[in-house]
Order: sequence, then C-alpha cells, then structure tokens
Amino acid sequence: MIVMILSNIVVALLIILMLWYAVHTIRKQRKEDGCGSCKKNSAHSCPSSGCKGCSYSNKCH
Amino acid sequence: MQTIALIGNPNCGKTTLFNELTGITAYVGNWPGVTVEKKEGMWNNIKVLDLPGVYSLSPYSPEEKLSRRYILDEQPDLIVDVIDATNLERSLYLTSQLAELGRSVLLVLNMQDLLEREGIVIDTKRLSLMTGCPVVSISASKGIGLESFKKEVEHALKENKAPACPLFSNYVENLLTTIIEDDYLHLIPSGRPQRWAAIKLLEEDELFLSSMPPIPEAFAEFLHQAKTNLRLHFEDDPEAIIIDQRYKVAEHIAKHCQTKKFQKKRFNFDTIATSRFGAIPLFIAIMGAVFYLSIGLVGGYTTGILENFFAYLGSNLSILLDSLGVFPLLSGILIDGIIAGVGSVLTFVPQLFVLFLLLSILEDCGYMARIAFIMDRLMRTIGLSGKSIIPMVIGTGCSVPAIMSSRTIEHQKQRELTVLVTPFIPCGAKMPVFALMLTYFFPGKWYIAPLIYVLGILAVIITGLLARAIDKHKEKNAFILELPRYQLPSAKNVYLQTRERTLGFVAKAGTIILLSSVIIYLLSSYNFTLQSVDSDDSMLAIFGKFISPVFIPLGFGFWQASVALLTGIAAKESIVSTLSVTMGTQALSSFFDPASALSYMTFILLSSPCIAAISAMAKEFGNRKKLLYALIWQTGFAYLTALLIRMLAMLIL
Amino acid sequence: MAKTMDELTVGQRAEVGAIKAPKQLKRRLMDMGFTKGVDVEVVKMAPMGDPMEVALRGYNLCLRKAEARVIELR
Repeated sequence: MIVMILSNIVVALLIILMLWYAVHTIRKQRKEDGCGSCKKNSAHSCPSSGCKGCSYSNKCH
Repeated sequence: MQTIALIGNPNCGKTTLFNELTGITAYVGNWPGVTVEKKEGMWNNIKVLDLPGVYSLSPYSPEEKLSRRYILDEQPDLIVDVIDATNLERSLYLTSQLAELGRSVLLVLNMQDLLEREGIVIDTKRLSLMTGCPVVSISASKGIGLESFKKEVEHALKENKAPACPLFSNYVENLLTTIIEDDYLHLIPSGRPQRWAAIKLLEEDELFLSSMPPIPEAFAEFLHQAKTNLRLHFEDDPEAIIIDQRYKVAEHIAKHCQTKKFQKKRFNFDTIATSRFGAIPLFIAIMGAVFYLSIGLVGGYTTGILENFFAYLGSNLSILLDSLGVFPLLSGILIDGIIAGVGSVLTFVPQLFVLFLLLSILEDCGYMARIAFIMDRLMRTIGLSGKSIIPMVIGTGCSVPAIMSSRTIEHQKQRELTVLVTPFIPCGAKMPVFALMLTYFFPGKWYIAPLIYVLGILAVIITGLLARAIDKHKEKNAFILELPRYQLPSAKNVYLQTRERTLGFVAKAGTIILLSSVIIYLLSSYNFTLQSVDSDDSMLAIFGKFISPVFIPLGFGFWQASVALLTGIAAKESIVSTLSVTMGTQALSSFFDPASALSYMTFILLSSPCIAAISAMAKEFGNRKKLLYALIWQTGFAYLTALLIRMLAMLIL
Repeated sequence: MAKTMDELTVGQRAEVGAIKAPKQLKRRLMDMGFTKGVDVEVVKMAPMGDPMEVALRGYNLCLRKAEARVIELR
C-alpha cells in the first residue's frame, strides 16, 4: 500500500517536474525571442539592437 | 560605459574576434555577408558591437547604411577596423572612409598567421604613422595577440585621438576647403565632421542630402560649378573621383607598408572545385557524401539501436509501474506520452549531429561561395541568383538559419523568392517522418530517399519558373561576390555551430515535443466527459475528424494524420511523436498504404514550414500579405503535388 | 568602342578604364576596386560560361558577364 502511494507520488512528481521544466524553458525562450530581451533604453534601436527579439518583431522600441 | 564597434570588410574575421572577446557564439561562416545585423556583447566592461561586413560606406546597400548610421548617430568611443592582413589595399579603402567620421580608429590586422604563408610582410609602425591610427596584429581564429589588442583598446579609449584623414590630390583638397568655409556647413547634424559633409556634398550622397535643410541658391550654384569643374578636370563624375582618390591613398599606403615576396603558384582546390567539367559533379558528390555519411551510414546504424532502447525502456518501465500499482493515467502519460513521443524524436539526434557537423565544415571552409559561383547560371534560368544556393544547402539542416542567410542576396525579388522556396528543401526535422515511412513501407528501396530531395528541388524549380513567368519587369541585378580564400575549418567555429544546432534540436525534444506529447496523449485517451476511452472516441479524434475530410483525396483522411500535421506546425519532429502517441499499438499499415504514405510525405515536405521558420520568413518579407501568399502557395502546391504523387503511386504500385 | 572586360578570355590581363553603368552599379564596382588603371586578370569562367572570376588588387571576385560588360578596358 505504502509502496503504491509512494510510487504514484514519485511518478506524478517526475511528470510535473518535466512539464514544469518544459514550460519554463519555453517561456524563457519566448522571452529571449521576444522584446523581453531588449533593454528599453534609448541607446538601442530596432530592428537591430542585437537582441534576438528585435530581429523578429521590429517594434520593441 | 564605453562602446567599441567592430567593422571591416566581409569575411575579415570580425565575428570570430567578437566571439573571442565576448564569449557569445554568434554565427560564423566563410562566405561574405554572414553578419547581417549588428550584435552586442560585453567585454571587460566595454560594450562591443559587431557590425555587418562592408566594403564601403555607400548609401546603397542595407548593411552599409546600417553601419554608417550607427557610427554617425550613436558615436561609439572607438571604431575597431578589422583588416584582413592578406588583403591590405582593399581594406584600407574602407579605412579611408572610417577615418573621416571623426571617431578614433584602431586598426586590427587580423589573420597575421596567414601572412607568412602568403609571403607578405607588413610594417605596422609605418602603417600606424601613415594612417594616424594605432595598429595591432592578431589572429582571432587562433587567439593570438588578444593581450596586446586589449592593451591597445584601453590605450586608444584613453587617448581618444582622431586619425589622420586621407589626403586627396591638391585640386580636390582645395575644393573641399572652400566648401567647408561656407556657412551652410554649420547646419550639419551633430556628430558629423565638416570634411565628411563636404565630401558627401560633392558626391551628392542621397542619404546625407535628405538629412540636410535645402541648400541656399548661391551655395548650390557654387557646388554645381565645382562639380562641373571636377568633371572636366578628371573626366569622371564626382562620386567616382572620390573613390578613385581613396583607392590612390590606399594603394600608396599599402605600397609603403607591405612587401610581397613572389609566391610560387601552389595547388589551389579551385582547379577542381570550379573547373568546367568537374565543378557540378563534385558539388553533387559532396552533397551526396554529406547525406550518405549522416543519414545513411550513421543514421542507419544508430536509429535502430536507439529505437530499440526506447522501446525496451518503455516496456520495462510499464511492467515495473504496473507491478507497483501506479495509476494507468500516470504511467500512460509517462510511457505512452513522454517516452514514446520524445524518444521517437531523440532517435534522430546522432544522424542530425553528423549532418550539422558536415554542413558547418562546408560553411566554414569557403566552398559555399564557389557553389554560388558555379550554380549562378543555372539558378538564373529559374529566376534566382547563384547566392540562392547557399540558403538551400544550409536548409538541408534547418530552414531558419537558411532563410536568414538569404539576406546576402541584393536583389529584393530574388531574395523573396529564395525565402519562399528554401522551405521546400527538406530540413533535418522532417527527416524523422520520412525515415519512419520509408523504413516501414519501402524497406530496402534506398532510392526513394534521394527522390524526396529531388522532389524538393523540383518544387523550387517550378516555383522559380512560375515566378519568372509572372514577373513582367525582368529587372537586371548584379551578382558580385568575393571568392574568399579556402581555409581549414576552425575547430572552435565548427564545434560551436554544431553544438548549437544539435542542442537546439534536443531542446525542442525536451520542451515543445514533451509538452505536445503529453497533451496529445491526454486528449487522445479521454473524451469530453473525461472518461478513459479508446482513442477513436477521444477528444482529439472528434477534433481531428473536423479537418480530416480535407485530406481524403490525398489518402490520409483519418484524424491521426491530420492532428499530426497540426502539431507539425509547432515543430516538424512532433509529427512522428504525435503519430506514435495517437496510433498507440496499432500498426502504421492499418492506416497508410504505400501510396498514401508517399502522398503524406510529399505534403509534409512541401507544405508550410514550422512556426520558427514561418517567423523567419515573416521577418525577411517584412509584410504580412506576402507571408500569407507564400504560405498559401506552399500549402496549395503541397496539396496538389501530394494528390498527383498518390495517383502516380497508385498506378505504379 | 573600347574593349570591355567580358571580352577577355581566361588568363588575359588588362587595365581598367571607364565604367559605363548606372550610379549604383558603378559605385558598387568601384567600391570593389575597379578604379581607373587597376590591373585585372580573368582567372576562370564558371562551368556554364557565365559568371567569371577575376583577380584584382590581390583578391578574387566573381561577377556576371552583364556586369563585366560595363567595365571598359584600355
């Protein structure tokens, strides 16, 4: 019984961990690919401030 | 914070230096024009910028405009002019333009390790005296001389001394002096030196003139007279005279600072690589070898092993979890969702690694420019440029960098056409589907795999011919391309690039594919009342059955195939994982027959690419309407071709 | 009519004269080093005879015959 409960918890945790990791990484990438990676200061200019986001969206600044 | 900007001719090693300094791994390739946008990084508390490679600061090409605007408007504290030391004269032509921008300039003689081999000696002290700039010799790819580079940068930042402007012939100099004395020159925007402005006025530089208030009549009259006199005196137009004068300065400096020993003609790979009869067979042989080594040799060996491994892992884990009494929901997500989905994609990592490795070697050694040279005539007949072949070769790895690399094509229509057709070349991510179908339905028929590439190339040709027929104004465009020296691929570049692309593939398996596998598994195992059902009654099935009728003519009008195509928009690899999750234990042959398998492959090959490639396309088109047309063309063409292929296959098979 | 660069055969050398082309192409060619008096040598023709490879100012460049046609020789 305890083994069953424990193993269920372990498997569930494992799955949640993997899903969390996947979502986290995707969100991080989104940020890098979007305007989130640009510092909004005047020294930068779109389309080509060098941040990944600007190269895709053109409207970060 | 201080800023330094790296600038120089294309292919002079700026990006290698930039990577070396900042530890960023920007993309490096050995053909001119790899850096198309500026990149920023930090080095010892100094902001470093990598500007696109330019031959000149003319107002015509986008890269040149970008570099020029950057230096004028954002005023870096130091311009680092990277010079290919084996090509001093042409590099100094650019230096002569940089010197006039009023910023301090540091000359970096890169590739000094190659000088000895080329029999060239450069007197750096003299070069420094003649240009008025500090000079430092380095080899960015070997990491030599970076210490003294650092010292020189710090020194130059402290001194902040403007370089000596190149002196033209007396006639031109006198004219410039008179122009500078005019009151109009006080109106120039800040950051623009007067001498530079005077030269731009003579050259009638459109970009500069548009930034200035209208010229008063008397001064305009004077300028006109001056230009007429120049024309008479030199028998050429003012813009050409200035270029000529600059090259004279560059020649003069190069002559005094550089001694060339006569070199015996050595064997050059180009005697074969661009020869009349050998060139094209060699190109085909090289590409064939790349695919044979990666997909055939390595892929054939590793795919089976990894497939068995994941199957073994799945079945044993399943037995273990069952015996422990884990809920079917949880064990299902883990085994039939994650392991089946992610595993089906990870199987392809070894062969893609080899493919990316070989492609990056090809890119780094200098052969790409030769391919553009030998293929230009052929590509032109289908409305493309020789340079369009570079994106297509890179596209066999991944469409995203391929689409980006199309930016070296000057002519806009050709560039857009190249962007449109590049996804027709099967990328690495589409390979899993092809491999799955081919090994299942056509075992032993090795000739079908190359035919997929042929089909992709045919799609390129047909699209090109059609676009050419539609386009009424057959604009002429230039094809001017430097053929860089061959070089041994730098281990570091190859390693970084291969690693980045392979990790990108693995990362997708761990993120998008993992998520979509779990979601697809859940959706395909439960119905809307959240009861565990057979996949045929699941939520996903009901949803998929909405779309699937569209594909009945193509032979795959069942919901699993349609859903797989939809998930393929996120990433093409997930087609395989979706198929394997939704079909579960049922055999592939209970859904597809050989003819519909072929048409499915065709549709995947030609229809719109994954979301990453779509956004790269959007960026290059810069216009939603064009993107929409492109996607409609790709998908429509895919549909028709798949239909045709299926009919042909039904006749033959 | 002056001889133009596309008429050179492989191995021939010549000196560049005037460039008769629209502003943009002319600037592009001159930026690459085709100024008056510079020495050029035709290194090779592409397999299908069109783009040609020329050596000038110590480096190699390829361009189409259509572009070579605007470069006059002397």
